[in-house]
Amino acid sequence: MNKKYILISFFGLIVLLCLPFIGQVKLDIQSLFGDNTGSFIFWQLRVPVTLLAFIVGSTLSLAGLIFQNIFKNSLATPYTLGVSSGAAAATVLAIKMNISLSFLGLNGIYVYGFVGALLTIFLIIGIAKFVRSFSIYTLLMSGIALNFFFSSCILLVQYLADYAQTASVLRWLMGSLSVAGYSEILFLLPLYLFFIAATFLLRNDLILLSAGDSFAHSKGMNVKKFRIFVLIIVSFIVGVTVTIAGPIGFVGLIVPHISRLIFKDDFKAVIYFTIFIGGLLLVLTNFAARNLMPPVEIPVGIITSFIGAPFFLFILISKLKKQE
Amino acid sequence: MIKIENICYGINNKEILSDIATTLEKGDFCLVFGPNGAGKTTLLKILSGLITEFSGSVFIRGKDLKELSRKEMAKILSYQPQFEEFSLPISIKEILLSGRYPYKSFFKDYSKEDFRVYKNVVRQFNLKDFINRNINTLSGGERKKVMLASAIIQDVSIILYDEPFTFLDPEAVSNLKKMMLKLQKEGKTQVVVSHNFETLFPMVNKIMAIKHGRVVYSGEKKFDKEMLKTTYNTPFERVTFKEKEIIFPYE
Repeated sequence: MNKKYILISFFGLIVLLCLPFIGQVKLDIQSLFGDNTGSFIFWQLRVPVTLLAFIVGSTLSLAGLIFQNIFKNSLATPYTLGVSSGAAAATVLAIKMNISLSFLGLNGIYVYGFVGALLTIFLIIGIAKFVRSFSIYTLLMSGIALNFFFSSCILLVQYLADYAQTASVLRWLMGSLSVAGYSEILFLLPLYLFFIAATFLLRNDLILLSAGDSFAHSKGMNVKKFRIFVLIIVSFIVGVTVTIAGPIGFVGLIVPHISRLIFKDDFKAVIYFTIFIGGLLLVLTNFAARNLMPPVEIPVGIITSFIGAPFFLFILISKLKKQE
Repeated sequence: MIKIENICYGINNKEILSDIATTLEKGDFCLVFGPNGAGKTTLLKILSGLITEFSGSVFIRGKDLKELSRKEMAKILSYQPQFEEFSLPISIKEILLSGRYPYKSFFKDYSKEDFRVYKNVVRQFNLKDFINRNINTLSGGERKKVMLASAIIQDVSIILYDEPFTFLDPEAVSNLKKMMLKLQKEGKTQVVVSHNFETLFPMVNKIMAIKHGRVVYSGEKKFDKEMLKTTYNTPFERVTFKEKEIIFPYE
């Protein structure tokens, strides 16, 4: 078991260290230091993008993992339940309507993402409670409906906006990491570390909840309070991440699924690898996005959805087959 | 140990339980029976705190159930549902360890003491070969055993069972019976909701018959043809086999 930890961490570090050197502009170690284009490309473009991709990828994956445990369903993730698009719609709307607010000293724009995410998740829980069912169907169907609703909100805003605005919003909606600078990274980093620490500290509670509400209840857990507590944390993180990188799809679905396939019920390992593989996956996808069709840079969200959507169908079909 | 006073409960003006009252002492083993839809499972859910909007009161060890926190309750009482569904993979080890959840503080890991208790019960229940297996790979009987072991790790004094023998083969039934009798000797209070008279009637010392949400009889075990017939609308007979009283529906 320990071998797997070391092996994958080692592989990951190598990828992380090598990737910034590869690209359309060839770089060597000497050109990194000094005042030249090479060092600018390296330190101001490639390094921050790689770092941000890692942070965003592992945040979204971890959020997916936690959602799966909270809803006891491997298809429930912030993206599939419409939480990401809720965050996106709220952000776009607020920007267009010029509402500005700040909350606890946070930049207003992050607050919209958080509020949008939180609102979506409580809507879904409300619907599930109303029909007294937390089944796949209820959750995903409400998620799909909300997704449509938010998409149309975004389209409306797009339609009303001027051309230049539309282009930049569209770019962001496809999921993009190229806007990254160190200020975004510095803003995300403490949240990211807090999120990881909280997940590890709450892992026993998350395991217990994944065993079912009544089981968790019988072991003394206050299920309602715990679920809301965790959902607020996750919505906050997802909201902020979406505001920065756009609603990047399916990472939160694929990565926890793979980690669970490999590590089954060793939840500590599942958490660790979700963080690690999630980060690496987005770093690699983003790398591919930049280098598949140079000089065109494909938005990274398009690639993750290209891979993710069939994967989602695959899990859905195998799940439904099993139920028969 | 458990004192139930005038419990009434209904959903949408439909009465499900009315005026349920009984008292159980330490070491009591009580069979709760009655036709389907009589409100037996609802009663267990009230006792285990899953349903809280009822009128009347339940006192457990002299404390009002409505005033106990979730964790305090989990230290006293364990509810064993008929069937527990696990949709995500979870190992036996986690299921068992979760018995120590009420003793753990938030944001903390399980302590050495928790692991000591866990290891003791694993030995006691002979579960060593199981701990790394996924709960969904176990047979019905093995599952019941694990869930019961988890309640013992929880160190509760009251265990409530909902139809514990359904889907079990005869060997698993016999194993579960042995475990229940052992717990009775250790002074645990047990309440079993079941139709399975053949198995349970010889074991218990108290019975409670419920029909349409009302108590038909509650108290010491006795074979009362009239009472059983009133409850189930079907006659019951009794035979004595190896000094054990066995009752069954017979027409």
